[in-house]
Amino acid sequence: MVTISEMLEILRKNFSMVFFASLLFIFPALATSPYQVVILTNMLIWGIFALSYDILLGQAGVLSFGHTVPFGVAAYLTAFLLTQGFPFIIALLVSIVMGAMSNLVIGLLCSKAKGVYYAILSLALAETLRISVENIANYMGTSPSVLTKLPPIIKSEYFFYLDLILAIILVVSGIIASLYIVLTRVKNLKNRIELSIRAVFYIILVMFLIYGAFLLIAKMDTLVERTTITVNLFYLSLILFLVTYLFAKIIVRSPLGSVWRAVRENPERAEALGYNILVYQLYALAISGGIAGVAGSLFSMTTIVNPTTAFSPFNTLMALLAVILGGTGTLIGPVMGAWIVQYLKLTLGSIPQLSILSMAILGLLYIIIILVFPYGIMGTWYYKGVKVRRMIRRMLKGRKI
Amino acid sequence: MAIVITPGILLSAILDGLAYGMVIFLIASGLAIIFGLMDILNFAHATFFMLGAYITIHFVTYIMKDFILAILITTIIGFGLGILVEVVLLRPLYGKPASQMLLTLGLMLLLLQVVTLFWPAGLVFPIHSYIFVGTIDLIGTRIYVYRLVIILIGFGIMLLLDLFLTKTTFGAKIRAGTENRELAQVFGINIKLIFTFAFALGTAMAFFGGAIASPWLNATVEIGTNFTLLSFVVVVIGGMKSHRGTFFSSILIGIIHQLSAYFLPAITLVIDLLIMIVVLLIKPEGIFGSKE
Repeated sequence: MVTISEMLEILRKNFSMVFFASLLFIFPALATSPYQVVILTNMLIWGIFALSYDILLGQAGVLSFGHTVPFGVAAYLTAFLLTQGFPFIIALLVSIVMGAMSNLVIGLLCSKAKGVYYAILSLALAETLRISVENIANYMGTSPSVLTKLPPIIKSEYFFYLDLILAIILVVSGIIASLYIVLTRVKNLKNRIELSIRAVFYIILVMFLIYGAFLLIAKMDTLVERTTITVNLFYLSLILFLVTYLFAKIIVRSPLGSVWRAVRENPERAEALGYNILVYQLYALAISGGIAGVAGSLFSMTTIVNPTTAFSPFNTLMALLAVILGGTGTLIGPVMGAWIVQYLKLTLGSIPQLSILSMAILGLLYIIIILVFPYGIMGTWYYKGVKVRRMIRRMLKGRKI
Repeated sequence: MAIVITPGILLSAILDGLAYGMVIFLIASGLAIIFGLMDILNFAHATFFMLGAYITIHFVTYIMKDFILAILITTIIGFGLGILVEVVLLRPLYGKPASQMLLTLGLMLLLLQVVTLFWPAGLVFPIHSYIFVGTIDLIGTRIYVYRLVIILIGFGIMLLLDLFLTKTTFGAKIRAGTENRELAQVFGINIKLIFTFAFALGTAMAFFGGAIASPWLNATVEIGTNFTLLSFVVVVIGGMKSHRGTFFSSILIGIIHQLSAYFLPAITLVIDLLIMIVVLLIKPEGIFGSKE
């Protein structure tokens, strides 16, 4: 059994994550229009996709340009299964398995190719699949685009109440964690300035969480009545996002993750130590394919699925952009990168004159990041942020810098 | 839909294929030289080609109705842009080929957007003189004169490039850098200069190709994205590093592409990609390439 103090310790260590998750959970109450919820849903979905690409590229060091295949396969399968009347959970599981399988097939086909050749070959396979799907559908005289029939879980209000309970649990645990942090620091710290600044900081956070939670409860009726589908889709994406993020974090910290990094850093040495590189790369392909399957499965419920959106090489490009922007191999970085990319795309993209400009800005941003911050946002923070944090701490302690 | 294969249609398809192959060659040869020398897979190369087509048509439409001058200016702009990109963007990343490749990918994205920003609807070649739209009769089929001109130009460029790379000192230096970069440096070759020049040469050739192809293909965003894949296919089949292999595989892929476009239009690009996939799986060094 886990004792209460151990649980508190776990909460304290993961405070930022708990806080952030509860912030996301109360977001629908803070949003001023349903469109903002839609934007955030898209951001979460592409965050999952970028996460899967980061496992592949950042952890295992496989540069694949065919990563849109598991995404598209999952999107089509989910659309098909849901329209046939299967429950969502089955569609999701099938999508995950088939996403992993499709990535494995690509990996096995391309296993002889190395480096650049692997990139070209995977791109070619993905493009072949896209054009084939389009042409076969045209040949059979059917339209290749599918409008997904939403599952009953998305339409029911019970799902919303479940999310409400989850949100309150998270908010309460966030409050407990911040109280615990402040109280334990009272014993350890003698510096009053630092302690009081921290206390004020946590009080503001807690107040904000409580405010959001109350707002959520107060707005409950309007949220359920007017925008059930939007809000439920958002919560579904959020829950799956949190689950996949936790899963990715656990995988990366496991022995498997260490071997991936060894293979990435020095394949020859890893092979000399007795690791079969291909097998570990296939593990990475399967796991990232499964996670991309989750993203594709959710994606199919937000828009009409057609070959150009589901299998477009620009999907891979978007994930790559997010990974480079956020910092390869940092997990949270690519998620943030994907959020930035999607936010720019959706907010600027909703204005017709600026939709092309937003992509141009992204391209420029990407080039600048590669040239100036080769480690991305989070990577640079990990490398260079230490100095900044030390400086802040010294300032708080009132010493000379 | 039954398609009657007559000798005339076959001839027309093959000539179209040859011309198409020449256009691909003008893109892919630069790609192969850059990859061989600098180890960069330049994703932006076909977008340079597209930009060349846009600039040429823009020049001919709005500034001066002189096609030869337009080609010249486009090529010079291409050379300048090549130097600029190499010095400003790629030079800071020497020694990191993966980053360089990702950078060219960003450049591709940027150029595609810039082009749609300036010319949202694409451009159509405006001049309708005999050389561009005229036809001649060959065994009962009408063949566009301009396709024959493209074929001639393609062979000419191949000849010039081959002479340049095999007979001049500068070409020898490029080949030396391709064979062994460190050894070339040891022998006193300024490898940075060679890199810049080779990249600018490749870019200029892509721009030149865009200028030459613009009366035929006009200027759209699609030619940028389509030729990216096609030029990769050609370079992979040609053995990645040799311009001669690229020449033969360009002709091969051009003819196959046009034959399938004439007779099996639904799977045109798929056939090209499948050929490349099969070649990569069976003989990864390419049909015309040699094992190192």
